[in-house]
Amino acid sequence: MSDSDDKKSVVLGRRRLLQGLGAGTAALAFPHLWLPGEARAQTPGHGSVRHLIYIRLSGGFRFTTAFNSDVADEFNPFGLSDKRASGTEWGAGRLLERATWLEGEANKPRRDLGMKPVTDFTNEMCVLPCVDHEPFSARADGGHGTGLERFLTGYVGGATGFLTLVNYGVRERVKEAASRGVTLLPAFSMGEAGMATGAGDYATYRPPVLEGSGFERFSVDPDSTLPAWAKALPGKMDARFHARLHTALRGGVETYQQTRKATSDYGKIFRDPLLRVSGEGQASQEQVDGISNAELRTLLGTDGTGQRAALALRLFHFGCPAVFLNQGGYDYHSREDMELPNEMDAANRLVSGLRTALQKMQHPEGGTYWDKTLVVLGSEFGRTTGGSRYNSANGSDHGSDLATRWMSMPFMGGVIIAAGKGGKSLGSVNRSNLKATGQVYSYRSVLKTMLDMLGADHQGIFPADAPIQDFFA
Amino acid sequence: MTVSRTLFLSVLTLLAACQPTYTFEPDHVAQGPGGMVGNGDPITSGTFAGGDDTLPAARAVGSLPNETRPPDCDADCVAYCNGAGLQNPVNRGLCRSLWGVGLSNRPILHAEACRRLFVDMLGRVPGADEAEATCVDGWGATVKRLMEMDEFILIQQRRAADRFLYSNEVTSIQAIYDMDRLVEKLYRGKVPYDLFAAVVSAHPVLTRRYADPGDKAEALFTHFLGRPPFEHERADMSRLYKLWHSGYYDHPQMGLRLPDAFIRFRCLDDNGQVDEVSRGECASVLWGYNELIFTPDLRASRDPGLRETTMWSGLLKPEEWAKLQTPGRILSRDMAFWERAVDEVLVQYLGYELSASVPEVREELVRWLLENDGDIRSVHYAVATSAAYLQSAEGASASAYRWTYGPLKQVNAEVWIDSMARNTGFELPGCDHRISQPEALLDSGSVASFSLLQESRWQLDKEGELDERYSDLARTLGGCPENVSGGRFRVVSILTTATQLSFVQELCNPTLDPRVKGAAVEKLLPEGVSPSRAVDPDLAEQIATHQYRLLLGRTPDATEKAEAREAGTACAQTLCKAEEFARPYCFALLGSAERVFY
Repeated sequence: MSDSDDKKSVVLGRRRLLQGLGAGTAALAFPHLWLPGEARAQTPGHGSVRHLIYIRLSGGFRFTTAFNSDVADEFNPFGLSDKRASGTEWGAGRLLERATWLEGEANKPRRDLGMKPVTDFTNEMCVLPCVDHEPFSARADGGHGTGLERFLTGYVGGATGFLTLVNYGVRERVKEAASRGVTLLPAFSMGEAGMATGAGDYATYRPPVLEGSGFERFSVDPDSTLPAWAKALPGKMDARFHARLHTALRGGVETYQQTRKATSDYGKIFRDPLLRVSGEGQASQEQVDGISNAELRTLLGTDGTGQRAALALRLFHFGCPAVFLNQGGYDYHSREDMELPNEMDAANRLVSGLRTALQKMQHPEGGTYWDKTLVVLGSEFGRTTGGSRYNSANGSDHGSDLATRWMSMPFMGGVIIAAGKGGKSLGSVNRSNLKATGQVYSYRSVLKTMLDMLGADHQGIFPADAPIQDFFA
Repeated sequence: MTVSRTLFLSVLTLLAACQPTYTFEPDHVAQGPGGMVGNGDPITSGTFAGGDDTLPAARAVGSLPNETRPPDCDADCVAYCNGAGLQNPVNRGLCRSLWGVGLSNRPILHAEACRRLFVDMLGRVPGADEAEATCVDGWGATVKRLMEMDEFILIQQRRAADRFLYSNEVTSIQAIYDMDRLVEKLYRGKVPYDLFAAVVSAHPVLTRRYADPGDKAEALFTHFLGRPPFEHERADMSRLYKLWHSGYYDHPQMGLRLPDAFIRFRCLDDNGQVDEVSRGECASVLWGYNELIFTPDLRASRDPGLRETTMWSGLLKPEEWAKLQTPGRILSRDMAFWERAVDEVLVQYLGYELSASVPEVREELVRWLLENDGDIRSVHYAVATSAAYLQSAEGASASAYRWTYGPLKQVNAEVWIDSMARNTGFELPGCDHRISQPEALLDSGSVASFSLLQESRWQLDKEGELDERYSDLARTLGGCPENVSGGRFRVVSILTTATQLSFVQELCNPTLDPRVKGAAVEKLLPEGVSPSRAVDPDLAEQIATHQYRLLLGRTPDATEKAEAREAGTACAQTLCKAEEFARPYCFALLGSAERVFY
């Protein structure tokens, strides 16, 4: 294992080495021609999905207990699943078998809707066992602050959140729709402000950060509910304030006036009953896109995460390209042995519920949402125990070694199956020491791949990291 | 056995109530180097000159300076400024780019100035009555009065939390409380700014946040010099950070495994003695020879993850902390350090970088700060009483130079929410910048952690669950940051505006929806006016005047009064009552841009 001051742990595959040598030779021979081509910067899957659900297993997730589980006990004390679906090549952990949400009579509606334990469909998921923040770094970044910064922006101190890049990347699509009078919702971050950073050219593409579980607070249009005598007052007051200000200072107020006006356009969407996914007994039975809000609640649960996931699926109806949400809290420095299984149970329900819902939902452009949506799970880093099954408090920590380093990220959706990658593992590790024995991907490549699959313009974004071609090889 | 969360929290509530010995006062929670400094008297009296300068008139000049280039202050201009008798360092520095070259600052209305001071220094919009009672006896006395209030300290502590990204997921909560205590000492004048920087440079809030020694060095440079280090500076300074290790401390009472800073023993030989061959790796040589080597003693223990001996930083002695604080002391010897200190204060109050355009202001302020023994309060006082700050943002100025008209800034989320709640008497829970992830304490299951949460600014409901109404709203608006990554943001967007309007609607309840528990109508009406009294133009004007003063902190002008009478006339045609007028009017005022910008 690597340590903070030890040597690099990167293993370059033969193929990558030859690619690098070839590129280097070409660059030396024809320096004036060394321009990465656009075709090379895209994958064959460019634009293959319309929506992305990016889920962060919050706090640093011990990936080896679930998605890279065919490893020694010290990395995965919970064991490898022997119930994983046939054709699954990646190490599905026993924790993925947990499905208390399917047990008993009370959960029959879920079974009736087609929900299954995750291990029943591991052959639909493709896992990248070795995703690394910085493949050329000597050590892992196990810092909550910096690790999460990398996760949200690609870099330590990164100024632009991933969802901002998504909105920036699909700007032409939004503009074209607007020219037809169609308002497309942007990407939404459910409660994670770090996903919504952006300055300069990116500032206007920052996604909304939605706290709580929905749009309930937008139940009525505030301006339209005022009595007739009061309707004109807000506009007049703002106009007077604007006129009083020094001309150089009016920009912010003008933005406020514009957004207030635009609020009523977006407000129509925000107030759409379709977005009312929470509230006991209030969820609609009406089928929209082939599923009702009541069914979404059944599938995804009534806790905050479930409601946010349901809301994500409904936001897609209004053109939203991507939603980011946090699930759970995996920073188990203690009592991981007792608490991780329950947290994984909830994560499993989310994954299974999303799969079932997406497969049931009909996309307005034809086919199902499953065909047009990519679901990805990640976390800011993995976790380590320093050679034991657990640390001294029956938990796990995060440091600088390989167990912290590898983010073993699963990808799920129709596009993965269509590419023939269901159940596949793109990379591998030595089970006794976690050294990579296959491909290692940079985390920025993963982000860029998601942008690419969404059909987003990613020119100039993470210029040193290419989207992953192996999904479509 | 599974215990329901509700039952569990109820038991915790009961235990917390029954065991006062577990009560955690901040001074008990705080542990760290911040407690070892600033325990004596303030370094200055806190009374500073220059609060009520008599401002000079613009010097008569042949032609006003052209905005395409900096003003040229010739010998007459310099003489004019030298003879102006200005004591405020900002005014002194500004003179050569303002009055001395024939320009003027903009006069300001008392209400506009007072409101700005309240928002910047106390974090809320005042009602007119409070403003008129507080902003008296000149601006110097007013600013001094505001700076002595606890709310001023709290605002500075919250700013420090934003700046250093307090997060109890990243750093020990004890260290955060200690840093918060240190910031209080800074703004009570008990710690000079260079000592503050020295302590911060080795504080676990900084060292535990960054994994790599180079990143720690870079963070220090960025915080205190306003720029990242050059590569050779980073490489050299990072040698003084190689000792730090990010580990975990199992807190015996709080039941939490706290992320905390540990010390490694580097540059030693196999016998635990300083290794002559490698000792250079633990020494910075760019700013003099500064070696940082610790040898293990009984306090050291083996870290199983690191597989070497380390020492928990909580066991360090004052002299050891002092050694570890070398990086901060190195930076404070650089003039850029002091320039950065005053620039930050200028940006805090003005919202733009005056020093970049008028470097004389920076020079004067640095001199002023050093004359006042590094008491940062002196800079706050100077800026908040300066002509650059106390000038109107309204009306046209004769010049486009940025310093010829006043600042206009967007309020942050907490200011917006807190002011709304306070002005209308609406009760809301809070958010505590020291505990950005309160769930961690709640989930720990320990009585001590639960008590700590109870005594924080977070509120728990009857079931012992967190009341997140405030944080949900604030976080959508960019406040109450978790600070694991990112932090506070201020933006005007469709979602934030819609959220604000929705909250104002809940607060004012313009439709008089009986299901909405908004602000009490008595607050929205002048004293003695019954909610059921019929509205006429006179009453409409009274209500509007009351609300302008209460909610916007100023008396309405003639146009606004006439508008209110007109609205009252229209309202009266529907036989409306006082409440039916007051609530929509409240919505119009609180939803206006004037509540968003100041």
